[in-house]
Amino acid sequence: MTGTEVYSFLDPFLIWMFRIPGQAWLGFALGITWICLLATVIGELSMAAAYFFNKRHFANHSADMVQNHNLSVQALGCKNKEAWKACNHLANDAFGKNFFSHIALFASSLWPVPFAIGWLYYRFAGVDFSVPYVGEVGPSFIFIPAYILFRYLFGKLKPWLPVFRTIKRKITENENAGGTMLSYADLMQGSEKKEAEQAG
Amino acid sequence: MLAALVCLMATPALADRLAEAIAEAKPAGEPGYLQIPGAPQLNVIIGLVWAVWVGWIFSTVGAFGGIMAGVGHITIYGLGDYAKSFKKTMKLNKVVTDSIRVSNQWLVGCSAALSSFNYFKAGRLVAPLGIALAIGSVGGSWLIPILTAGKISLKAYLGYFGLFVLFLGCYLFYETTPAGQNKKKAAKEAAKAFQDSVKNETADTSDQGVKVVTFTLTKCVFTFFGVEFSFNPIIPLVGGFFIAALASFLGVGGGFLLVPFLTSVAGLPMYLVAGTSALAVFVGMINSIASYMLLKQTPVEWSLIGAELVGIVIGSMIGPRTSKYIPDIWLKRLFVVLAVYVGLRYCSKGFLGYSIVPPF
Repeated sequence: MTGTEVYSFLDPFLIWMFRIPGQAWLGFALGITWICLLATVIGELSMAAAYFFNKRHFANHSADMVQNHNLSVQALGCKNKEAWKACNHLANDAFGKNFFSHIALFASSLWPVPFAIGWLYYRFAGVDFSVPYVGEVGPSFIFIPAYILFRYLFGKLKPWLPVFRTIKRKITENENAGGTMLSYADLMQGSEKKEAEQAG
Repeated sequence: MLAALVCLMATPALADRLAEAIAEAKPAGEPGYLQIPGAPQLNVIIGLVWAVWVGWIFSTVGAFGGIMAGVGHITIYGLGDYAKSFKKTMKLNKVVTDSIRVSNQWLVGCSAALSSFNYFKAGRLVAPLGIALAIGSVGGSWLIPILTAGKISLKAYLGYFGLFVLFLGCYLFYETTPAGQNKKKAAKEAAKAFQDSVKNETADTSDQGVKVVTFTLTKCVFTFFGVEFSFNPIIPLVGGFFIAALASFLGVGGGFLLVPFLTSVAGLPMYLVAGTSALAVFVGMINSIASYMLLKQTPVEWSLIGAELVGIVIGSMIGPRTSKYIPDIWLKRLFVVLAVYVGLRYCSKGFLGYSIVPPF
């Protein structure tokens, strides 16, 4: 299966929105919005599926990281530099694992994007664009900023969107199962509270 | 609205870098990779299957994922041999080489950048360190494509890529040696001892926050909750530059270099490493991809990248389910063997012109 075959398959699902207004630039704007919407929704749902498939694995990584980090904060509070170094080393190890597993996870939200860009080149190969101060650009120059903007707005709207609201809540619950990460401010607040108790 | 604005400004453009390279080489045959006549016909299914392996590595070993993505582009799809079939002075050789570099970066880097951005949003960022790293990153990731895009032949790229893989193999090997294992074991024992005694220890927070003791161009000494720390302010700047430059040159993400750098070299707490590395990876990636693609007009085969991302997702879903059957140390040993093989092969092919390991 070649790229061209993939794009011909996608074509009827993507092109119809470009044709609705009957006016070139308006149709292009509407079509780009439609592709951004599809890429975002399919990507977000894929990421949720990938997360829930291995939710215990993600929770374990997160818990390991949080526990070792919290211990390192406590070590610092006790002025125990050796213990701080050891706990911080383990927390960093866990963070490294968490970091890489999340890279793979985020790939699941981005997979529709290259297909969308490839299709745009397949459809609009004959139309080149030139932008003031930048020069000649391809359709990805328009699509990528539009996608980033769309994804950002979608993130802001998530708490009000039915299915996505539930996904967000369940992921947060799973990630926080191992406890909350202490900050150094918590350490300071803790001592202030203790001082207040002693004074009281 | 953004799309509409850009569309209003859009006008037809002229021929691009790839068209010029094709005109110079005059290849013949059926259009293949990047629509170049006679180029390999890339099957997206093969891309997907290889990426399942890449994704599996990402979720089990971590650092080796980007390398395996690169091996796929160079060897598995035959793009390396195809680029080499053109003389190293020809534009098409270099266009395909740059395309391999930026494809690797799209594949690994975008996910890395997006992932890092989430840590960044959590607000855990040391501003001066993040800015120093970002300045270094911008320098490295702009300079390398500008200096090297269109100038690096496939042979030279292979050689450097091989060297890097060998270096990574040595690092992984160290982690499997008794010395490497002992360091982790000692840390675990110290952490356990502290955890057991923490109930008896009382937190002394009389010296709260950060207090700078001395600050010069090369050394900053400060106390944090009364515990003394020091760092060299030039290190993040230089480190950021070299990591971004290396990532951009090889076409890899850079996150896997940055995280150990911030923790081992700069000695930062984990709480701050996450957010700080985010800024540097994000800035470096955006810069590198933009300069390859916008300024140097390097083309990529989008359907292949899409299929590979799907493969990475499948592989990374399988990874955690299989890792419990294979001990971590054996996984690392497997990758040391792979790294030595791939490293020696690419190094010798790149620098000597022939492979010193089979197939010759």
